[in-house]
Amino acid sequence: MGVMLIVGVVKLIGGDLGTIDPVHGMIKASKQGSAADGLFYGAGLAAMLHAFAVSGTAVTGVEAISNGVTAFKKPEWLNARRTLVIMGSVLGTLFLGLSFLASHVHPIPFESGYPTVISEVGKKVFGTSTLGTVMFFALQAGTFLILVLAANTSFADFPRLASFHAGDNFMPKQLTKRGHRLVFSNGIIFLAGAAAVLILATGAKVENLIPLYAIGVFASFTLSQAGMAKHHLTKKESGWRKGIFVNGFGAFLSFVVLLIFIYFKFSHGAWVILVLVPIMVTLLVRLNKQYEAEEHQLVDEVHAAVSAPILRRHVVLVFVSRLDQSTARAVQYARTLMPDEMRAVHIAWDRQAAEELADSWRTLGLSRVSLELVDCPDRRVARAALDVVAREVGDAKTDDHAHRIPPVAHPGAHQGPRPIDAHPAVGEHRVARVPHRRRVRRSAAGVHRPAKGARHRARPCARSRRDGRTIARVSRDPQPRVRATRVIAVALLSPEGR
Amino acid sequence: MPLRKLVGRMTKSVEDSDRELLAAFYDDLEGLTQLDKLPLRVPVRFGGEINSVRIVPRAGAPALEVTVSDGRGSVTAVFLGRRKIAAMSPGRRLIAEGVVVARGPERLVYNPWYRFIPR
Repeated sequence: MGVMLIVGVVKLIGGDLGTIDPVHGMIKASKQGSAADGLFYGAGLAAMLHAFAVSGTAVTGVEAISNGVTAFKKPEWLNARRTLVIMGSVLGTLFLGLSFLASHVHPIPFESGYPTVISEVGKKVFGTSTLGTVMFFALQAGTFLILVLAANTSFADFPRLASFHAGDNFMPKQLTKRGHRLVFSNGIIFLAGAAAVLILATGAKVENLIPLYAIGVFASFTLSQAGMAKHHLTKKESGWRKGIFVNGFGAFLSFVVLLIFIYFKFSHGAWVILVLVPIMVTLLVRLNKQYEAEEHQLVDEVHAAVSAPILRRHVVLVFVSRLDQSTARAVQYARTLMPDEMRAVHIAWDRQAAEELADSWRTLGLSRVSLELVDCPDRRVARAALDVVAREVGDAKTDDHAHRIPPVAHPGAHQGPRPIDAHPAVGEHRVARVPHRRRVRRSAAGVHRPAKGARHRARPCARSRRDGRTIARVSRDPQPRVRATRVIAVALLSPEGR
Repeated sequence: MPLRKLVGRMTKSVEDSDRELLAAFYDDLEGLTQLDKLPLRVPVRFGGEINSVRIVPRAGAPALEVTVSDGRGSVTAVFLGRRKIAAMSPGRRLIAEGVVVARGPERLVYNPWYRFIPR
């Protein structure tokens, strides 16, 4: 591009640089001065503001330096400053040079938005000779590469940013997970999906995408500048007056640009942002509340959990999917825990599989372990498994439980506050497995229906009710098979330990 | 108010609406006692959907314990001496008749008469 500018200027001095001839499809230049009334000036002002706002996007990307100061070589601030100066001068030179050339070449934008002004100017400057064509394509390729790199920055930074947010409970926790290449895979996948949707929705039209981009950028500029101004205002470090002026002015300018964008590009897709952002913010705040409540509850229970007496009564549930070796060993292992009650539980979402399991259970002589087939019409195996546990624990409400989770009123629950009686250990398992506390509580509360119970066998009831406490052991894994395997691993290790 | 009703329907949990559907199904049938209002120690007739089937292999005296629910409450039918009853599997609906007894918080009915009904 620099080459293009130099060649262009040289040709201009030599005087053999003509203007671009109007081609069909170009926007017709408006008749100037024919009606020098207020309307025209108004339109001119609007066009000026529009151009101002659009060109604002040209300088976006400068902030990447300030964001990445920590990534520079030492001394960071010095290198960052140098880079910023170099970048600024390059940007300024290119921009001014292009404008200068354009003012002589008179490229006229096409209505469809492409070919771009750069390519028009480039074609004119380099001419149609072989070398000129090669240079022209080199220019286009260079532009292309720069844009590819630009796309890369968001993939580098968004997942990181998202992981920070998720760490602060403002986005789904899954975004904090690193993949085996040590990047935040979920964030990248999410971003790629969103980008694909955006490209499909806008038909990859640049003029549709630019407003979205620009509004996002300037909104964040405004916020970051305002944040710095607030920082100066509260901290009042040395030179804060200057800082507050600079940042406040920056915030004001960005905000003005933002408003201009919203105003002029409202029908071009800016409304999408105005609709989507509040919805997303609401959802994320809601998510944050959820996480905070969960966190609160987990932490609050610590002192009670630490000082809780040992539970005398065990109920062990072994989740099975079919009777195979792993199931058999899991059952054997569960027996070594000397449970007061032990049950194999099968979530019967496939009736035939359930029948087969029941048959093999009877014939293969696992005769001392009862098997429970639980209905699961909607195939939500994990949910059904949780319900089984909740029923077991919810049943303990009738027992003389010394340590209960204090009833927590959940904001927004339709039923109003309901107590949940769950053993902390179980509560922990369940919280760990199911991110949404409210769902868990619902399912637990759902089994507090009267006359619901499961413990009416072998044990002398009086005794078990007196000192009995129920702890249900459940797998954290929704997949019964996985659970069985996991238990086996423990069972195989234990003989060596002895 | 219809709007409020609509909102209520949209925001209800799946479990609640399932329960209501089930309750409505059995309300339509004649002569059934709702499971949350079961009188004890008198013969009653009730209906419900099988939530869980438990094969209890007590030495020498096996039993099949079937928990049924009608969306309002639930009761456990205990079939003594049975390891298996054809078609007695989760998800089926039945009408049963027997004497309900209480044991602690639970309601049991031993060896009830029963009949499957189509969904």
